[in-house]
Amino acid sequence: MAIDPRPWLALAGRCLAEGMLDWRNAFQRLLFQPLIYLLAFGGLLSPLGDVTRPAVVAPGIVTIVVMNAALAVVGGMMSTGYYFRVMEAWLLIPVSRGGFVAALVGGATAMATLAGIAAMVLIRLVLGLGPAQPGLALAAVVFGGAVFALVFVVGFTVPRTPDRAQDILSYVLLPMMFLGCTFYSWDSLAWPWNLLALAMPTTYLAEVLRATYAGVSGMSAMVLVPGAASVLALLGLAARQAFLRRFRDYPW
Amino acid sequence: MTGGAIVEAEGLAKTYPSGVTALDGVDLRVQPGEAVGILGANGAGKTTLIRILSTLMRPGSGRVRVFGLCGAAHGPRIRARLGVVSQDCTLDHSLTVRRNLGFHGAFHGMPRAAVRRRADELMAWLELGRYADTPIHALSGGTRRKVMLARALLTEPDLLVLDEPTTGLDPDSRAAVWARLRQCRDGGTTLVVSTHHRDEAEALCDRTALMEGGRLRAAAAEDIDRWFAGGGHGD
Repeated sequence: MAIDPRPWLALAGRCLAEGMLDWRNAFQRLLFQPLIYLLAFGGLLSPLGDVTRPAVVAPGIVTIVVMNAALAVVGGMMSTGYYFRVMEAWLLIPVSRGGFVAALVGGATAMATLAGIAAMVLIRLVLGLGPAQPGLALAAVVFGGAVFALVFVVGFTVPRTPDRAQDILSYVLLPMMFLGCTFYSWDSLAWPWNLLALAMPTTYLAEVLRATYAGVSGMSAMVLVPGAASVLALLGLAARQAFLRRFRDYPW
Repeated sequence: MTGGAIVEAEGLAKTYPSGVTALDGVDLRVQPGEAVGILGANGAGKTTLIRILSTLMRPGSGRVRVFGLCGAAHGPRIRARLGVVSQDCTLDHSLTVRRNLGFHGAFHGMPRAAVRRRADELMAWLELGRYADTPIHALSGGTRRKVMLARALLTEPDLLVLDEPTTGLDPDSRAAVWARLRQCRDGGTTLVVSTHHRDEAEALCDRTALMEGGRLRAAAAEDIDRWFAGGGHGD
């Protein structure tokens, strides 16, 4: 029997709306947050580094904005679902549990992509930097958004309730933000930090963007492509399993 | 099990990880167009049964089929024909009444114009029109309950599963809701209603079953009299 995509699309749309419930929400996600990062790392700190510094930092800013947008959608849906019990109603939508995860990740990826594009436009306006290969940069942002969404689905569904996820997420977010090549390039790292950085999804997004911005990435495609594909596949499986385990029996 | 029934449950049992046994060998059979009431005190296992029938939960043991389908394998197909009013408010708090209904229709693949038409009709009937653009978090408990009912009825489901549907409503609203649900039943919709109010069961249901200690048994009027006389309703 053919699967009706409309419920799935509507659910993905609801997830996307979680990131932009009103104009204040959208302003904060799409403009304010990237502007603060730009001000801090592009404006305040760049003069302290060498001339290539903005090109190294700009992809990191896009990476963090993409990560935070995915977090806003997945975290928002899971928290709303828990605190207001809406999850009970969402689980009654005629999509499978696997389809629910796909819609959640799809909505979060769409939001992350919008935020990433907004950040790249702001970087162009403020720092005068733009990707030499916009198509590759966009593909990287979409990939990054999907990976981060999957990470957060796992992070929010492994604990019994989302309020307990905060502790786990701090162990995930901080390393990704500061050990995952956001504000420096991978080839500037010595062993074992370069190895550790490979475990961070932020590394792959930041390095691809870095390559498209200034060609300063030291990570070869031989490492990047299989690494990125492996991260995506493993996280996809983990997210599906974690969600099924949590929601086979409605727990709240 | 034989075909034809909307709900067929045999030997349903459910014990939670905490060790509490919510269901202990429940059998239930509901025919198309029938309205079945499940009376029981708080904690008797009514909500667990409702959740299993709604595909939100798997039984620990036993078999359940809704529309002739097994929930584990065909959850989306069952949910597409199901309307549920849960015991708690499960509305999307950050959205308005209209957007709640709009999203619900979209989740069920309804065309936008049909959703708008049906939502307007239901809001008019439940006197929700003036709250159409009000966020759920700004509504009273009774009004939220009405929105839950409107949401459950929006898709014109074949099976309505109602867990204490009129809790928090004033007497006039309760009577109006019962009248509407009777209309649905008369139009062929199958109803499973969990309640601990005798008047609700009598107003809506063709037959009533009593749930006690995780077991369900058919109840004649005198059984229900005895049960209420014994103070078993939990109120």
